[in-house]
Amino acid sequence: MIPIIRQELWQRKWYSFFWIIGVAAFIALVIGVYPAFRHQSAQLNKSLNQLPAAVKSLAADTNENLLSPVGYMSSNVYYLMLPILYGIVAIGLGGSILARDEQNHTLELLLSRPVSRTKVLAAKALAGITILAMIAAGTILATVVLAWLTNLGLSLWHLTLATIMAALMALVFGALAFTLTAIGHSARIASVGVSVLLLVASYLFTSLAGTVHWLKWPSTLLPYHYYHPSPIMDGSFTGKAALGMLGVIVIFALIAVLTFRHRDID
Amino acid sequence: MAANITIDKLSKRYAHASTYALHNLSLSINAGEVYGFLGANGAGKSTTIRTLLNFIQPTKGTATIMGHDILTSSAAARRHVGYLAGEIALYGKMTGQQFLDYMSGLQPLKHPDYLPKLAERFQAQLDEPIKTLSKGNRQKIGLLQAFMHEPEVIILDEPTSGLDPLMQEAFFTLVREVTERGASVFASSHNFAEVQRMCDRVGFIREGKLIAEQTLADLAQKATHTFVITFTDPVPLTALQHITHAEVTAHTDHSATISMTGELTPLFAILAKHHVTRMEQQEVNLEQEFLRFYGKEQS
Repeated sequence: MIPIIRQELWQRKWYSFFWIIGVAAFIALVIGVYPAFRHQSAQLNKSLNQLPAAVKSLAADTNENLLSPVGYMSSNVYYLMLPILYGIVAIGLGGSILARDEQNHTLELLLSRPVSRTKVLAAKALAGITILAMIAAGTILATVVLAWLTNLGLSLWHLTLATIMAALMALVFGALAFTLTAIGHSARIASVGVSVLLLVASYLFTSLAGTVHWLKWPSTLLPYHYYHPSPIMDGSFTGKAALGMLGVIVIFALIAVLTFRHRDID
Repeated sequence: MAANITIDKLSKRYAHASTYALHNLSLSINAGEVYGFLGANGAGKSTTIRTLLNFIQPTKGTATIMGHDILTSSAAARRHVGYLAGEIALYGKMTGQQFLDYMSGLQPLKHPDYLPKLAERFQAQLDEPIKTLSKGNRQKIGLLQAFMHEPEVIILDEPTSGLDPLMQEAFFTLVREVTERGASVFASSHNFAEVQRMCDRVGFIREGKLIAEQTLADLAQKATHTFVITFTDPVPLTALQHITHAEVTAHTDHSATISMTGELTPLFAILAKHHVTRMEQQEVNLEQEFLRFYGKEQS
């Protein structure tokens, strides 16, 4: 398994590097400009409070001051941008890390060696998770350093936890894309599209469920419903949502293994 | 002699297909034997190989490699296998050396000094990115990865494709060496000269069914022998045309080409009565045999 993981990381080294730098730069920009808003937060918040609830709910998972440290980080980083950025990475990796080898017929090279299909699948999944984890580590480093330099006033551990939670939710969508590529040819074609659609729908349904009542029930079936960065940052996070997401990822992994083990390779 | 590969009534019908791509295929390949698998495009050669390697699942039947079931002990079976695909796909960004290191990471070499010797023998370019190499040089890397771990079973699809005559010769020598140490080679090919040169036994496959199987020695005995004979006096055409199971396919005043099967004595009896200056036997033509089998099946 180790050579396959190493090979994937080597092949995607520049991809990983630029994502780490890009997301870290985004974090640096967002936190770096916060001091300019902090002292005017009361006035600016008055204007923001004039916005319809539906619009506010698209920006953050809190009704509190959107320019308080928690509100600012939630609305500008954790609620939308980070899950979307990580989602792009996770879905991109999930939809290609196995599929590319199958499309290029290099998967046959791996499967002609004495490596079981389950191990190939596990190695590919671990390589993808490692890349996402490296990008998240870059984000955490940038967040912690910038939060400390700008005296953001939030627990560095809670910021770290919020980043991990965003990565975990993105991983759910990445796991879906990966599982679809493992199932077979037709599912592979749909893998990225279906996962992106579900990510966007998940965000919109959950954000608008407070205003559009018929969205309430369907939103409970989607991961975003269980993703709340504000409680993580203010320390009231219980971890149940994380366990739930891990459970979904494990279910996807099981489906991937069971189908990939016994299907024809293209 | 122990069989390294046994295939028993192996069948494959692809999803949504009405006919079998492979139907009740049974054969065995002994240790030290080179088996050639001949058939037209779509006959079932690749399906057989892909099923053996567990890339695709058989609909019915079983097969073993070195005693390991290809379905239930697939990874154990592949521990003994070296495989070269027909149109081999490699990692273009890697150099040949990086690729071979990657493959040997997945299947450690029995003797690490064997690979450099093989690379030297095939004059493989291992320092260049694979995407910059010619087809022949990529094929060499494909051959190295199939042979480098000294497997007991070697499965090859069009192995000499793209190789120049010198490298083909090196390849045939390598095949001879590995079979001498007891390895079996299962080679699918369209190239009759290649099969004739390296195989001990050939199987003809058509529409997923094995329609004939014979050793090259048998083939040589049963096959049509073609002689080009030059006479100093005029060709005894009438006498030659009266030989049973013989046909004069071409002639001039002083030369005749005669194709015949079976006993050669009647021919030599006629030749003994004439002045023969030259007699040339053309090689057993596997292609003719292939066409004969295909023609017979079709009719």
